Amino acid sequence: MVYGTSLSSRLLLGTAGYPSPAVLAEAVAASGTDIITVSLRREGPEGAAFRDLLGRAGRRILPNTAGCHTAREAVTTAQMAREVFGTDWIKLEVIGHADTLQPDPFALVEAARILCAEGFRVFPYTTEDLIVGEKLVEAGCEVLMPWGRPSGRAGDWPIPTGSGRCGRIFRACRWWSMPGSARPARRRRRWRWAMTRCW
Amino acid sequence: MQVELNGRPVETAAQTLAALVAEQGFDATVVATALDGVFVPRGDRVATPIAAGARVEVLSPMQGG
Repeated sequence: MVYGTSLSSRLLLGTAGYPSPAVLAEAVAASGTDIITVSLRREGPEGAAFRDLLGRAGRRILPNTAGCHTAREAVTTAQMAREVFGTDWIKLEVIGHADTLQPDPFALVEAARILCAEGFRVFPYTTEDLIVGEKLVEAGCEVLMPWGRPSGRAGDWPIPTGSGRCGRIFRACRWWSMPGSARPARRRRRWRWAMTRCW
Repeated sequence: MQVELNGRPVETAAQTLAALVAEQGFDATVVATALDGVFVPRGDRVATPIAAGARVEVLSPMQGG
């Protein structure tokens, strides 16, 4: 159960990087996922077509606040996403470091408090920091999404003892390990690693 | 007057956010809007005036995540 919703799959499927809408639709169908993650961007001509594709996919939509660097930006983007996608679920991302994409924990907690108070169901992309996790839970988050590794040039997949510790301590929470971006082969290995540690 | 639309300067004769969205060719039923960093719900655009120098964001669903 996640925010009162029963899920049959642990997999969250991103929608970026597919060569065509048809391939994306096939991937969604083949994955068996219940949740697909999406974004908001400055208007492009494919916006309406993508929304239609999401409708046909028949999966739960999890919009994100990718690209936001302040709590205010993230809150505004979440409010916009709720209107566009018709869901109060939001993957909350507030990036603090441009190279590693490490979340800004202070802005993250601030935004989570605001959004939870507004009735959002917040999925915070966070670090493995236990105190930050506690503050997010206190804010009303029932899910934690600790990062699995830094992105960009910051190095390879570390032994994420901190993420494992999150799972042991926040037993009342659902949590997903986020594998971060990388080349496809490395990303697949990280996904396999992460999926053994979900739930 | 000139406003900033999605980070770009735009000349417009629109007096409201709804008029700007229509003038710039957006599908009003698909996009979400913000004015000067504050979310403006779809139903409020008609009654939301815009002034010279306003910062307008018009976002639509895209692949990502």
